[in-house]
Amino acid sequence: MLSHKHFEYIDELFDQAIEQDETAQERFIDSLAGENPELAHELRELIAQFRSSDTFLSLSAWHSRDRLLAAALDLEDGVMAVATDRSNQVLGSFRLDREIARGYRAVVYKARRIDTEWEQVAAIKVLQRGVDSDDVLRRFLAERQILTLLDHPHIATLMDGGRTEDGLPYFVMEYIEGRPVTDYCAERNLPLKTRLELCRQICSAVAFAHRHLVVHRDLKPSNILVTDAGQVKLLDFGIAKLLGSDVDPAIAAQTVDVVRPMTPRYASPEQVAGEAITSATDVYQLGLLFTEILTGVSNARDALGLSGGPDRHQAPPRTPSRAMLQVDGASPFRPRELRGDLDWILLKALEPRPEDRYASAAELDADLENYLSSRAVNARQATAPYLLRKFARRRPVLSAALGLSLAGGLVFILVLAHFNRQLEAERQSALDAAARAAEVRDLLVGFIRSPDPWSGSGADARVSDILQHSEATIETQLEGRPELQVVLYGALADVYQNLAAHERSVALREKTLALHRTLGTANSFASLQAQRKRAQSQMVVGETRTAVATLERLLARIAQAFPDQLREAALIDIEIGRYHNTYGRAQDALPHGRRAVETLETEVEDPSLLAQATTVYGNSLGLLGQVEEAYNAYARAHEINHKNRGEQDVATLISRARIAANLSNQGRYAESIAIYDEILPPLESRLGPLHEEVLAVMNNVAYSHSLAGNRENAIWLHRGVLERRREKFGDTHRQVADSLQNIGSQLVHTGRYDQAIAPLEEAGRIYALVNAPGHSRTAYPHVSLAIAYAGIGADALQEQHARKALTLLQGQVSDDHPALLRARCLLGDSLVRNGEREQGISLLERAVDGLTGKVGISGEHLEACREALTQARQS
Amino acid sequence: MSSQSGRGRDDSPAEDNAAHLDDLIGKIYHDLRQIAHLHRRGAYGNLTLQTTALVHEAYLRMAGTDSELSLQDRQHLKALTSRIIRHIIVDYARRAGAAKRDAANAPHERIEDSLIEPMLDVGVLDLDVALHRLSGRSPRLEKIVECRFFGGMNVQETADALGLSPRTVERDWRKAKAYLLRFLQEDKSKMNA
Repeated sequence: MLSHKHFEYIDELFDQAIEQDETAQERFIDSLAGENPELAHELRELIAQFRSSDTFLSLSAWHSRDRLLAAALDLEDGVMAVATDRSNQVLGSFRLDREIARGYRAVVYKARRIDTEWEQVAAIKVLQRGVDSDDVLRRFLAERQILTLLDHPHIATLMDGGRTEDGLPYFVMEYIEGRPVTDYCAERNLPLKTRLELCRQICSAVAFAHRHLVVHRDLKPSNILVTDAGQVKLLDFGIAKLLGSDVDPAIAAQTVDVVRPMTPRYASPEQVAGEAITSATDVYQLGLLFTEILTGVSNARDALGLSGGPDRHQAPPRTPSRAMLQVDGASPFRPRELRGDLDWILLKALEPRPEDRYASAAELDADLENYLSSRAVNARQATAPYLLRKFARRRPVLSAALGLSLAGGLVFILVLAHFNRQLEAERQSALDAAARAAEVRDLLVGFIRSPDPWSGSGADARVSDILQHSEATIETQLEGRPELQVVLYGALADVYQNLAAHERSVALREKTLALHRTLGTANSFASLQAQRKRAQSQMVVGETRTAVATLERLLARIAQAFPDQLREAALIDIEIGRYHNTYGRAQDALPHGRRAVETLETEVEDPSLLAQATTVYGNSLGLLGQVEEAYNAYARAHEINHKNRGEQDVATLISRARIAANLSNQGRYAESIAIYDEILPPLESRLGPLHEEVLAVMNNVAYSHSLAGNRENAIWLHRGVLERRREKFGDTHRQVADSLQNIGSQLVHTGRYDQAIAPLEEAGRIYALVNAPGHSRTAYPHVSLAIAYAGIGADALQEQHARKALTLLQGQVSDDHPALLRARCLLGDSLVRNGEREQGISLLERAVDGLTGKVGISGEHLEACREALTQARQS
Repeated sequence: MSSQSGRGRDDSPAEDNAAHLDDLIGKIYHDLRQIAHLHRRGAYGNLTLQTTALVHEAYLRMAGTDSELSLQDRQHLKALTSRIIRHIIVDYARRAGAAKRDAANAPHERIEDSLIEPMLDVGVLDLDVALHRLSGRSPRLEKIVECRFFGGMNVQETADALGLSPRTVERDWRKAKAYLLRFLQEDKSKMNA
């Protein structure tokens, strides 16, 4: 119809039509239809296209254009530019073995670790030019803690990241030998049930990541491998987000210079439209993927006739069971088996609007489980979902529920949105909603939980933004629903606690406790739990006395009112034990630790908690001088963690660090150092170079070296710790002063007195600034400085620092504290030299008396004091 | 340079002098490559390539250095650059298609997917064919698509480059897309039949 001949005429009519409003257009076309129906039809078609042409040749097409132009201009004299083969290159601690995969964004190599004794194979993904390396790395560092601790049997671990010498970002991942899931199913001609089980494994991995606030965004068969043992492994979790534009979609639409990570065939409508990406985005991709797994079609989007775009004009899709009819070749099961529930489940996952789908993989998984156990599936109960209605109606696109159109797909928002819908509908009683809230809480509690509570500033800025919004939402949207508020504030407080944002967490606990009082549930178990958690946070922020008083009270209360809550009691015992250990009151700590261990060994199954309890118990034993018993406890904790979490898990590595510290206390320095050397690289690769656990281990190795007499090693290591602490905390921080003190004291020990003075003075200045008045540690640099000046022979300065140290220590530490005694002997020594012999000798005698019979470091002090006393007597 | 996008039918004044035009195209092509190379080597601190920025940069280079350019040339420079980009991309897609067919022997060759609208299953070559059909009916609509899509220009820039009012560009851009969608639809149904 649009031939040359008619074109001008149609074009003119087209121009007229688009100037009119819809009703006028209708009339206009109708009037034409009588005399030329073909022409009217063409005009109608054109107007329909005109109205829906907005997305055509826009965002996603621009990306394709940019990509193609870049590739085209990349051609060198007509030869395709091929990314460098990096086989045999060394990246960080790995040597690249050989290339195993290549896409237009990245090349993947099999690699081997070269800096350790043990064999470690990894897959290293080197990104190609075209991505903004700095941006990718910055994102990686910001998200590193979440991503590297995404520890799930069906997720290939992301271990590390970095930058090649020529500036391209790379990621180190667990190496997986397997087949893409769709190939695996086809090659083995798997029955339906086995395929469904694979789907459930995939769901469990994605759900786990969702609970950790990580959305995959690029789920496709090549990212989901199945090993020969039938184990699913998901690759590239979080990587798409590192590559993608995570900014406000409105901004992303203006700056189209990002190479979009999304794979068009599996893209969700909101990805195509550049709208906010949420956990429901993964659900959509799972819908496509599961359709391919279950039906055997090679392209679910085409087979179902999905538009894929945000355009909701499209006709309803085919059901998966119908789509399966088109598949050639024999299937071990019939399409009929998918009809009904499975069709419903898949189409619900594939709803064009995110809010019509399952909110997260966990919900999808639950429905698959319902199906497998022959329970009613939730998909069927949904009210008139879009895809299942016969006639599609255009609906406005809600970019995000509750107006929380923030970037990043956070389950929390979706869950709140879900809630809100329920509340609006008032379909459920307040009690039902509370039960639902409990589920939500369970979902949230696991967030970002790891054996490694994030230190200090760990909270990702984006996550904290969302959390703040969530708090406001609970406050305003759920006003007058205290039974919901109490659960959600609690959940939010858990998230903050896991993020080590303890002050925020305490504030929210206060809110929940106030609500408990309003609701008359102040003595409920939930309220007691909230009090325990508040106390745990208070311990961290320094309100230790209040905290321990609460814990003691809770312990009594639980024994009386909730005698069955043994796990809670054990948790409290562990916390109290830890507190007493910290303050050196091992005697008080011991019964708590012991009781927790007993409970957890016999009554409650919780290996992680048992390992913690055993460690606390071991710490008490160690403090009481029962070093070998302590060793056994640490070895047990390690064994539990090893069995439960695997060798390379952070908790397992840290329990080995305790064994090493214990060996060091036993004087078995070489063994201790060997363990430290072994665990430091994996610990650093998983936690990053600035993590406090890594720094603590480095510090301990240095300590072991110094005790073993390898002072140079010790100094070198302490300098490394100092550098990292300066980077982490800035120049004025207690831990920076600790490092300076360590370095200074080692230099004093090696007789380099003049070099020791500067770091010791800096340590003294920082301690004076940051420590509370009377803090004993403020005295340490002065003790060391007095020794240094004694070595140089500067008597006046020796006396000055010794006096200062004594003033700071007296009354703050016990009378037989080695530092106090050493300070006394340094003062005595300087007095003797300054002519006050009597007084000096008396001080020296008191010091020697006090130091006699002590082991460890005190031995050195004793020797030094004895020598000073001998000299004084001879003078 | 292939001439399949119907340059001969173009009625822009800048193309009256064919020799001069070839010269100009050569220069623009060269500049585009050079700018892309600079981007790749990181000289611009950014490894990504953005068509809009590229066109602008090429324009600045040409307009700034070539004193022989007439005012008319200058006005048409961006439109011309957009057309050249279309050539480059279409040419590439054709070659990539050929390479893909021979791909069995070279599985590691980097081949870009030349789909430009994956949702509609529209490749660059399909779009090029549809654009040819459109140019036979309205060269103006074709140019608007070249500027807006291939050159990444906004409405105002397109209006300046083609000497049209922004309102016309706005309306014609949507019209052009409606026609293209119809052509693509027809092509598809013909193929299926």
